Amino acid sequence: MLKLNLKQHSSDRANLRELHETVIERAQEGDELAYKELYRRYCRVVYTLAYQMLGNHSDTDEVVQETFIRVFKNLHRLRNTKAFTSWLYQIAMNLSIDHRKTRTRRRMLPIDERPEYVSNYELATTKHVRNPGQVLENKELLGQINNAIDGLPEQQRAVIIMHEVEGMSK
Amino acid sequence: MDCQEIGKYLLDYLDNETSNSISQAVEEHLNLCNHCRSEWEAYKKTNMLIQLRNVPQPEDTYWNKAYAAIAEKLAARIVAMPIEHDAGIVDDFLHGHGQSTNWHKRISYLISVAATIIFIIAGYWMSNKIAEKPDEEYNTVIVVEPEWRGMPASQNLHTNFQPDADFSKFSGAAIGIISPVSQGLRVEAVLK
Ligand SMILES: [Zn+2]
Repeated sequence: MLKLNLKQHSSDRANLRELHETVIERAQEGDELAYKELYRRYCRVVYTLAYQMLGNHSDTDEVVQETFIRVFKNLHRLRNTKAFTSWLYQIAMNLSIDHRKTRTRRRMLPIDERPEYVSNYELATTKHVRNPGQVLENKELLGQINNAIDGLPEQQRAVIIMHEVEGMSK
Repeated sequence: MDCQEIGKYLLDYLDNETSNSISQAVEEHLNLCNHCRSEWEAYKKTNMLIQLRNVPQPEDTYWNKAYAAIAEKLAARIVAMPIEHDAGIVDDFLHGHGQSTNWHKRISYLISVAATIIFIIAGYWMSNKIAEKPDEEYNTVIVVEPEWRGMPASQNLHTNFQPDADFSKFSGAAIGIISPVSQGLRVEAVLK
């Protein structure tokens, strides 16, 4: 009985994978319905990824739009359709990093060098995390968490977020 | 296990996804190695902060609006630059990593510099010819890069061709940077 279920389950997964690849192939041919389907499936994950890198809606919105524009425009060049999600997330991550750089340049002072970010980082990581539920209710502290995340080394942030996002789509 | 191997397991260890033996090896290594321990501490803090920040979801109408904007911009860009390669952002992945991409970028850069120089020289040569024989009609054929498809008719600029002022624009147009190809002197872009 158990064996049968497992078999059923794995063939369902295989069918899903096949269906998924068909959608990508159709999008590669420029099929607009397939574009829409890919967007529907991945817009939220891409949004989460970009938001974790950028920390606000308006920057995230720009990156989400640009990600899908680039993906749709270059999709015909992706040979291995199995690598689609990794490719998509990599583009979103590259665009987020670029966006962050231009934003930082706009502010003139590199974010990582601002002293308040260092102290907020320490604050958020040492004092208040013992009760996460309470932390989230405290708006001021949430702002400090956002600042602390902004002040983290980009590479570490990117690695953790990519890991998390890959986990979401497994 | 050495530092490099430990590094591969750190994130899985963070998620409690490593086997008992791996977890034990990681723990033993972290106790002995300052470098890996500080990396591990940084991952832990980063991960915790990211988990603490819940991503506020935009309102439901956002997704359709964003898609409409994407479709509109995509259509506009496909018309303007049909085969634009988003070097760096998209190509890192498509071409593998690191060096090959750098080579690719460097070669395309060299090609565009060479093309610009050739067109500037050609421009001077042509403007001299124009100065020599002002009454003659010219029928110059410019062969552009095979991938360049030009701009839609409505976006072509119909300017009077003035050799000195317009040649920089003109050479730019020929290598696909900007659009204006002068119609005044019947300079034609021939598409392969
Ligand atoms: Zn080590």
